[in-house]
Amino acid sequence: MDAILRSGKDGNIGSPGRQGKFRYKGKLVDWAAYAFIGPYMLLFITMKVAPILFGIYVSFTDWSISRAPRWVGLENYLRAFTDPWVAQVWLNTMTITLLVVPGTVVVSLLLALYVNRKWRFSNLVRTFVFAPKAVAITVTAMIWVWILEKESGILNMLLAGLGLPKIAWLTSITWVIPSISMVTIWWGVGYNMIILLAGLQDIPQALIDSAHLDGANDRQVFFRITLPMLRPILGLIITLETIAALRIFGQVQLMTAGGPGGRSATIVSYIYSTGFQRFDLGYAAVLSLLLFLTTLVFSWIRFKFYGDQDN
Amino acid sequence: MLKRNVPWILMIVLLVGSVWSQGSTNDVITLQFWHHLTASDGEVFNALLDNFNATHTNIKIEYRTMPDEELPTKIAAAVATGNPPDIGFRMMADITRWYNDGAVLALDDVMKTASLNLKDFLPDSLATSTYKGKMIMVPMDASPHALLINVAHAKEAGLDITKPPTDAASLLKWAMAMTKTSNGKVTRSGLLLTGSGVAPNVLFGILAQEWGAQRISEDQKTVTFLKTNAPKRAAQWVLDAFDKNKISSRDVSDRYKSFGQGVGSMFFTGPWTLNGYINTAGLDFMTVKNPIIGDKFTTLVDLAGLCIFKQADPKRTKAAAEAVKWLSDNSMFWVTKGRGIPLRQSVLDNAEYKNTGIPWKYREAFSNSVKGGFSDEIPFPIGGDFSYYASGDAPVSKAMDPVWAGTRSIDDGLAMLVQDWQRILDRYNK
Repeated sequence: MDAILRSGKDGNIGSPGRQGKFRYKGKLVDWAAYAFIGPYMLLFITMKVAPILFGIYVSFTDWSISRAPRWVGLENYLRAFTDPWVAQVWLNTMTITLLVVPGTVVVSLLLALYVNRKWRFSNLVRTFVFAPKAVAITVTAMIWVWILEKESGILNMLLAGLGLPKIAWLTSITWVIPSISMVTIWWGVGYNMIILLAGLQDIPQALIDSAHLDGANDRQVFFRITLPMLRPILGLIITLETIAALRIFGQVQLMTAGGPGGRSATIVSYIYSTGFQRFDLGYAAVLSLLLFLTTLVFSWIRFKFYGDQDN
Repeated sequence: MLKRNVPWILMIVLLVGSVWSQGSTNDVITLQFWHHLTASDGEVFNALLDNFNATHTNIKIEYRTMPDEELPTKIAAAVATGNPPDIGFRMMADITRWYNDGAVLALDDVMKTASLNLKDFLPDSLATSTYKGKMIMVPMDASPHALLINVAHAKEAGLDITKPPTDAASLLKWAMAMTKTSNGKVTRSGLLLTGSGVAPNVLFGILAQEWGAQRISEDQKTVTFLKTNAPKRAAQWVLDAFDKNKISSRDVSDRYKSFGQGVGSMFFTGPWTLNGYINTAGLDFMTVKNPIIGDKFTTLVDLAGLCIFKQADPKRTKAAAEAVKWLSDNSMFWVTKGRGIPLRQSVLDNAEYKNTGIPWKYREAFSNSVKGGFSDEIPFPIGGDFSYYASGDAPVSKAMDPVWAGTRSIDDGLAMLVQDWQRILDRYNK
């Protein structure tokens, strides 16, 4: 902002042609900067800020789109805190998050370490592991429905071939959340592997070499040098994956529609069915706000614990 | 000189042409018709609409097909922006909500003016198309549930296919005879159900209704489902199919595919499956009316029909009414080549009805199931939430799926269901 608001006495900072064309509260203002950020700010306000504010308003109404909203005050909020289904979907969502986040981080890290070592087939591994991310989640979900089908799915045929019992991956209350988590990890691992690989390649080799010279073994190097230096990236991945897991929807909707018995229904699938199947938009807005606040809390935690590391 | 005047001549020709064509267009009213029918259903229904266009010079129908999940949202958005379609094809739950929101018309007077013969409709179908005393839907077809039986399995089990099951005892006998097990687990279901979702919930609903359950009171203010022990008996019967009689496996996920592949022997379903199964190589099946397991025959019936959206121009409403009447009067094409069972007595009495479209030997059971059936969707703004045809987070599914899985007691499931339904009624009755 200093470059934008300048004292009229000093004149220029930077090139001679960049003097403000008008004054605001006695200071020269560089209108060009505002002109450049203007279009983006307009879009940002229209597409992001305004809908959020509108959503907050809708949360205080009873609205089904095809008629005018009716003000109901805090009724939707009270309903959210007394709706037993909200507790169930949050439990499901948190369970998926607790499986997906560590699973994705650990698998991505292991694969990144493998590829970084340039061991045999590392290029092939990198390509094949990243490939799922190039496929839309809708296609991924439909393919995995076939793979996980109890009677004729490939996975169960493999298990049967090994003499193991077939598992009802998507129709069992016990297995449905692990199945969805497994698919989500499979889909997301490639992208995170690339990010971690970049982080690994940023670690100065001299540091590792000198550690080895000092007598450190590979395990000590990993825990004392590699992991600490990857901490900011790991923090970023954990935050992003947590937010993504909280918002999980496509694979749930397509693979299980929230079943069996609602055991795989997530908060976003509930928002979807409330808003777009029951047209209860006020209540859907409340649920969306709760989700927004939860992701905000996670982001705050991330900045609290990892923010300094970024600097 | 001609060269210089060519641009002027062209301009005049274009101007006259556009004015003339506008004048011509003004004589023809183009109606917007939105529906969700795809695949073979869509082809047949669109052919019916094309027939309408071919036989009318003053009214044209422009139809749009949208995915089933998207249609209600698109219509809601269209209504909100003041550009709704003229005619919609949908089920009562959505139409009731649109009527409640002021988007669709009550049709009593409109269709009387269009000279639609209401006496030709099956009385129950008109009653189900009525909300708060007003007819809001012109019913086009009914999809009742009936029983499909794999003939090869029945013959293999030594059953007489000329004497299909008609009551609980014979149904159990047939199911047990056709069930295959391995190490105590059902590998081929005699009665095809899934571990959760639509299949067990529909059977539960049919049985509850057969034993006399009523979901809500006539004034739509109170849930009356547990006034008798019918729902509990029905739930127990479904659970026994899995655990006590072992005629069904919980591990089936895709019931349609499973019946087609011979993983299940008997299957309660609707007439929309007939086209697909008739064309499934190697599948020999027959259809029978539901055996009576409860006190009286009933079956779950879905009604679908036409509604007219409010328009500012009364000419459009009049044209829409004329189009709806024509489509209803010509619905024989739809219910013979497409899906569903007719709700017009004249179609049922038509000598050609049995000889047209899908072979009568498959359609007969469904046709005979409409009378005595109950409408799955209650005419209520979110009547779909009272539907037994439920999966995902629909109330019946939320409450009863854990019961079928054995992780919740029947009493707890029913209590949760009743509580959920009452909450919905209270919200809309404020």
